Amino acid sequence: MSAKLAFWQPGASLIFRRVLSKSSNFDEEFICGGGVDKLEPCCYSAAINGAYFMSVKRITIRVSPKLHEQLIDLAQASSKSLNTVAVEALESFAASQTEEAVPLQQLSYLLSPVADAEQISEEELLAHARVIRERIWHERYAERIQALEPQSA
Amino acid sequence: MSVRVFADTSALLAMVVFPHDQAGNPSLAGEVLSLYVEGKFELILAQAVVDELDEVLYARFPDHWLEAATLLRPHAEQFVRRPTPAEITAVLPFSADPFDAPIFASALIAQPDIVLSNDFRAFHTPQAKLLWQERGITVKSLYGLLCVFGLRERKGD
Repeated sequence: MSAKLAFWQPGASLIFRRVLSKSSNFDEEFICGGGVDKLEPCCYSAAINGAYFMSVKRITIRVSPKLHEQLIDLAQASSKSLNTVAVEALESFAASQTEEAVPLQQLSYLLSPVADAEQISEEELLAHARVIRERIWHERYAERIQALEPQSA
Repeated sequence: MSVRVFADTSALLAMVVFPHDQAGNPSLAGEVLSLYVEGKFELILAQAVVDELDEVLYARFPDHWLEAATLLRPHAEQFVRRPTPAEITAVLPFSADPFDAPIFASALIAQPDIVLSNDFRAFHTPQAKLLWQERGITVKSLYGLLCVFGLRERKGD
């Protein structure tokens, strides 16, 4: 099932319309608006001359009544449509998954079984980390900090 | 905008090495790791923290260190730069132990919403809290971060 959705910029003077396709493909949907220069003109109907659209897909998701109510409240509080709130939430989630997130989960899959097998305790590992922190301090920072202190005194 | 969380080495190690307890249930660190995986907050790592992590892994997980380092290396540009001596000197009065000052300074460079550390002797002292407060940063333990997300109740509430 395909659909098409127009985008417009906040503050732009526009007439916003939602027009179901008159084409033979009734699965297509068009939501059109005007006032955006960068998007391609909507050309399927002379009646919405000057409007713009881009392709979107329609999906159906099932949520609990509680979540549904929360989303409606959020939408009302932010003066957005329920669809916009849902899309923004999905975009945020997708971005968080596709950004170059540090792969801590993979690191965990790699290291956690080793810690279990070798019975490494958290206390022991954190104590080791403190020792390393102290060593790094002496190797990398202490001399430079001491050299700086007379100047700052 | 998601919450920006700066992880200390203690929290980071707990998340990647001890995500579950001996019974196999998620630990506090494991729950925080799940929140990160779900994109509930933005994790900020400092090069100074990764330096420590790298050395701990090299010493304690020698057979897996290279693979771990390979996982982290592509993200090096995201890490907060190492602090300058002047930046470290500036935070020395706030750290009970001078060894912690480079991490404190890294946190200030990152300007997160939350500093995440389970090292109570270093990051949760009155003078350290004064530094965080001055910079508009809150310090949280793993438990405290779960409270922020409503997954635990604050003790004493």
